[in-house]
Amino acid sequence: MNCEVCQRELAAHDLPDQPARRQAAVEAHLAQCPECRHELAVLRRTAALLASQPLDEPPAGLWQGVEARLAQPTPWRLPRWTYAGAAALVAVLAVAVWPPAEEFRATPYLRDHYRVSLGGPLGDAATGDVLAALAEETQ
Amino acid sequence: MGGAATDNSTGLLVAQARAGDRAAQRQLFEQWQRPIYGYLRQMVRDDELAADLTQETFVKALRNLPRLSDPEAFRSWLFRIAVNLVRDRRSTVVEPLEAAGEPVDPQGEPSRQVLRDELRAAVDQAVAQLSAEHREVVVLHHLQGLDLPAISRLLRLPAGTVKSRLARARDVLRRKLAPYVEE
Repeated sequence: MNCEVCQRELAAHDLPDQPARRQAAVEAHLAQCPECRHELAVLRRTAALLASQPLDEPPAGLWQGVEARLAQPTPWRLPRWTYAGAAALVAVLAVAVWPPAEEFRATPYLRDHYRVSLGGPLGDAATGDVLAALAEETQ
Repeated sequence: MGGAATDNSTGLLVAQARAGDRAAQRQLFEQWQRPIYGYLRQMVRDDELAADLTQETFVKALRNLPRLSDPEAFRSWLFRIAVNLVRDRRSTVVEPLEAAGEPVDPQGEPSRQVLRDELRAAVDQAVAQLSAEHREVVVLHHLQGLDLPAISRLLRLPAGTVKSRLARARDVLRRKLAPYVEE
């Protein structure tokens, strides 16, 4: 393990349940690297500094506000499952009631398309009618 | 650090408060308002809002006390409510993360009290500049004294995620607080 890898691991070094192999590798590197030992000491001082900070003091009189709110009637709310139930109902109704899309009829499109392209070198009126007839059969 | 301890008396108080005993409810509030306010203050960076959210946390907790199956779990339950309030708020409001005051100059000739205040301001500012996810685990672990499994349950995150967030946050803080922690 080199210093770069070791220092990447150090921030988690003191946390519980670290993989034993990783911890052993870090320990082995620390044993012979004063620079990384220094880094670990600084990280530990950082953690200690954080832990030594007093909590912010709450302002006085908060309980009075809590008591006043508790004295008010509980706001009326529907249970959460009712929202999910309503959404499901809307979805079912939408599927059941929605009008079906108009059936696609291919024949007029095929015929029109063919007639428009008649001016082209492969245009052939007889073939166009055969195609339209075939499309009609398959519908 | 770590705020009020959970013990048998909490269980008893919860049982009494659940039965509508206002004095017991107040005692629970007195016992836990400091850690809850401390957590909320660090998370929302606003005294007035933290006070309001503290009240809201207790109102929700006390109103829903009959739903708490294990009275001994009161602390985690209270923190869960506070965490959710912060998260609800975070989803609608962009936090003024940089509004933590002027950078603190670690040089100077301070008295002991001035030094303590300065150190506190520096820590406060460094924590404020963390991302909300990193700040959450740092505040719960280092400032509130919750252990990692408790944080994992509280935030409903895998233990590995909590650990990696904490490690990354510690690394960032170590750099930001270098003038105070380097020898």
